[in-house]
Amino acid sequence: MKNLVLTLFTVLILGSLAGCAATLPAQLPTGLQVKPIARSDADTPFDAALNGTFATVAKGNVTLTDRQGKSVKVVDGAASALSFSSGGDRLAVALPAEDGTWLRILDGSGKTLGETKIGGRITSVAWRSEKEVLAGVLNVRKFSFGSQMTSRLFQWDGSGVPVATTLNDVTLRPQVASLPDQLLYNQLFIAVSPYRDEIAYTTLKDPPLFTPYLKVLIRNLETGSGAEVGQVQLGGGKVIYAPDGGSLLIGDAENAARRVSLPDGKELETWPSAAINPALSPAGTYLLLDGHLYRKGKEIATFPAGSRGVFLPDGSAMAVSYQGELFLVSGLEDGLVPALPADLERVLKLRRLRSQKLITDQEYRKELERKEPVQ
Amino acid sequence: MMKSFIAAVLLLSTAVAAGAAAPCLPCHAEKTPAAVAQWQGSAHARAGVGCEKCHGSDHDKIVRGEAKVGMKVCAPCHQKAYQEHRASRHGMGLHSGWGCTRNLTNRKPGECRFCHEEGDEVPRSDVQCARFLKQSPEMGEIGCNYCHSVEDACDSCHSKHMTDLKIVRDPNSCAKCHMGPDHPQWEMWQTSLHGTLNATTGSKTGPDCQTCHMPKGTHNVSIGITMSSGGVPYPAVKAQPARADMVNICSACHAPSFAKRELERGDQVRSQSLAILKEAEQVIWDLNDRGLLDPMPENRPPHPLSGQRLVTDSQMLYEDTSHIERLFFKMKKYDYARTVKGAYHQNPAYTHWYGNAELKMDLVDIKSEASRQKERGGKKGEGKAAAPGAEDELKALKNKFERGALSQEEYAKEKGKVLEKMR
Repeated sequence: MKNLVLTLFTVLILGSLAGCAATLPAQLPTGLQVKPIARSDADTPFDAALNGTFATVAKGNVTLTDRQGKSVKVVDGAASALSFSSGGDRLAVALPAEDGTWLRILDGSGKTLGETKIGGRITSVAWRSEKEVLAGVLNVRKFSFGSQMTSRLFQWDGSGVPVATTLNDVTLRPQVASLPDQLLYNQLFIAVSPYRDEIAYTTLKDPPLFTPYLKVLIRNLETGSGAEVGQVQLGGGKVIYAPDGGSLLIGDAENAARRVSLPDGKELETWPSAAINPALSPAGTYLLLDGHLYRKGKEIATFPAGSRGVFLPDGSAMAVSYQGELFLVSGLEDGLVPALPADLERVLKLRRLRSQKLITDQEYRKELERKEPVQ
Repeated sequence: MMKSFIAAVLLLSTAVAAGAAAPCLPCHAEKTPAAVAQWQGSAHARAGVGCEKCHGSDHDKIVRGEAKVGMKVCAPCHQKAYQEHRASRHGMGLHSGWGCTRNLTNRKPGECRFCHEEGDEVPRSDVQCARFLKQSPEMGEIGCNYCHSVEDACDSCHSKHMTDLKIVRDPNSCAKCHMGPDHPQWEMWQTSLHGTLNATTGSKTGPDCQTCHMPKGTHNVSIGITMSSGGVPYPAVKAQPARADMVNICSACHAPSFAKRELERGDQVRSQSLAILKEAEQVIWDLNDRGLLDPMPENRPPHPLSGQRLVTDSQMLYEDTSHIERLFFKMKKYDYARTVKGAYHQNPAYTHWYGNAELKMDLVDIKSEASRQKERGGKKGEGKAAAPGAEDELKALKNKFERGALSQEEYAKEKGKVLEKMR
């Protein structure tokens, strides 16, 4: 009890000093180290590349910082979303403009490789491959009776015209349309399956006489077929694929987070923390939920409220943004990322069939168990 | 003495008739002289049934066309004829096809919506035939209602102001509707031995429509018929008594055994023709399962009753369909009907050349068109990056299962075969 009071006191003292010094008030288990690495404006996006480069918004501009702490401004203006490609060679940046959002692709040095303007607000960017970037875009049109919200997916190869697909079209009641942006636009975070054939995302549902909520959906990018796998409260719009692509982490902003199986949405695992700013390590060993860091289901550290994190692609560390600074929490032992099956082509074909409900999930699993005959 | 009596009766009847129509005659003798003259010569006039009795006294309503003399106006005086008519297929003339079957016992669930809005007892339309719903109002009135109004209009056969039974005892009165490519009963009868005998020796040796279908003056024209208007055989429980009725009618001239044998030949022709028709129908559904109809139902204007689904039953359309469906429409509505009705009307040319031969050639055309569509579909699919044959096969199987053409077990088995091929 004495230790607990002492710890809380320490956290409070350190927290009150954070404006003065670059510190991340957290009690970490042995083996984990924390150090400041870059500036990262509050409530702005950030990401970490495979080579240890960090992309942040610093003092209102997009900035790249390497592991040695050397920063370079690469874009004038703040991004609403940014994401490194899995190889780390490219950075996709969404830059709000007056009449839409610029989607820009930069190389490792910050040089612009391509740029396109999209009507609407880009809420997330994600890479399907080293060449194809996906953007979730929301459009809201206001009418006297309410507002129309359209969710669209843009697929862009960096040079041609982006291909748009409407994912959802909903009429919002006036009281829902006037909700704060943090609630209303906290959705449509595109997550790409490790198989790269499927995305998961959330869309808003506003049923008359009921509380609005978010539907969690998956969609096969080749067939356009998909399924609803769950529902979450408004504000819990971020979903994350498990490393094997067979389940999805979802959760409410107030209640526990949960992992559900795909495509049937059955609950597999739960955590007692709300799914606020969730992040999952590449091999799935570590999970960050609302500042609580879990290792294999057990909480091992707590970061202050409002902190957000992303794991490095190699699983060795986590970048945590807190009060204008980005901290590197290193010493993680994530383990091996599950490899994709050797007969990937056949599995993708089966996934395609399952997405269209041409085969059941049971038949899909039965077929997976069968190995191709040895030549 | 006798002459004086007749004169008195005539004078009296004229006075009664004039009295019955007194308020209308002065104007209508000038405005609609033919109607007045026809009425004056009718049994109605002789019985003192005047204008108001049928048309009512609201002149404005009559002028607006809102005082139509429907069957219920005639029914109180002509109860027997009315009840017989209601029991017959004519009594459902506005509800043509199986989609409009309020009087049938085996109607499908959900059919009420064809006539009623949900929660509304008042029908939203009298005529529900899909082909009618696709017509312009003008075409609907002339091309559809002039015949199908028989459900609620005695004058459809009897004419409006005359009551002379000579009119309705002439087969020509049936020909107005029972002719043409879809059901040429009048032409079949005319060129059959029955028709020839009728034309040469009269109706006592050559029966006409009324002899067989309205025996003893009944208004139930469906007596003795063993199939629906679309040519679908009735179940035995309904067909057997109907057949006995028809054998009884034929037996007025023929030995019952002869009549029975002839009608059974017709039954055989019907079942053989139905088999050919079903084979063609399966070809079309298979194309639909494979997504190869051009255009597919989901890419067409919706069917007025069934929406964007393939329809090959009585409610099928001859517009907004694929070419192969148009071939099937002709096969089903013209050639199948001609074969079967030709056989029951003992007309060899209609049974064979206008019917059976066309039916078989239709099947050739439909199969050939299906081959072309499949070949075309295959060529379209060549460019698809990840659309293997297995996927198309599974899609077709799923469609077949969803429309009930495969049981759960058959579906699982067939899918297993496709997956086995994929390995």
